[in-house]
Amino acid sequence: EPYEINLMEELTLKGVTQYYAFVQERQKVHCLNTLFSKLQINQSIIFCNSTQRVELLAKKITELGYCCYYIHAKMAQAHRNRVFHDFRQGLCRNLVCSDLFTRGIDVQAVNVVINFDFPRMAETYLHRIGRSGRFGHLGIAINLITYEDRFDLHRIEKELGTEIKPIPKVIDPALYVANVGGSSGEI
Amino acid sequence: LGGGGDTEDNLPEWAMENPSELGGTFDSSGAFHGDADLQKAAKAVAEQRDS
Repeated sequence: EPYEINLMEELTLKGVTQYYAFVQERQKVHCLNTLFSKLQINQSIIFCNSTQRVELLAKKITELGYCCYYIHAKMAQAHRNRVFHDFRQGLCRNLVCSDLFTRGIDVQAVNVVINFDFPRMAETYLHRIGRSGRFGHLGIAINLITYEDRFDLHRIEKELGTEIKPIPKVIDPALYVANVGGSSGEI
Repeated sequence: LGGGGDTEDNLPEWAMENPSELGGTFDSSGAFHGDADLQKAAKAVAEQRDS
């Protein structure tokens, strides 16, 4: 007897504070660099919409002086597994990837998720940003939004019944840092 | 696919930019302003004032 499994039901946006930043396409890496320098990132996952963009962005991030791994669908599964394993072990702070996670991020150390490219579908957004219930904990999600993305932003917000707010000048570390202390995270 | 509509043959715009080591900031609407943008704006204001 066939039955339906809806993996989206296992995912939650609870505990994840979601922001958007309006950027021009050419400004995206500059904006990302600003976020890296101002946020208290324990570990981050950065999503792109194509394998080509994953590789190019990982190269850019490395050039900026940050440790960065990448995985995408065109890599061999064994290679992907190894990279993800090392990321989970905390060997590198940042991971750039395409849409590979089907049940949300289950890496507890990840406190910042960045949609470098905004997804078209609400389901993709939820898979990228959502946490499975058992691992649900505090974090922030930052969406880089171009002029072309603006309608998708509002539609996805509506479809998921969630709120994605403009990024403030100051992000309270209590929203995403486990042991709060030190700077206020002014950006 | 791709945020900027690029293809395998066309590099995304950001891939050809050399990101400033200087920071940027966000205004109250969530819009990002790089230092270069701010410098341009300041220059435009100064030029307007001088004319």
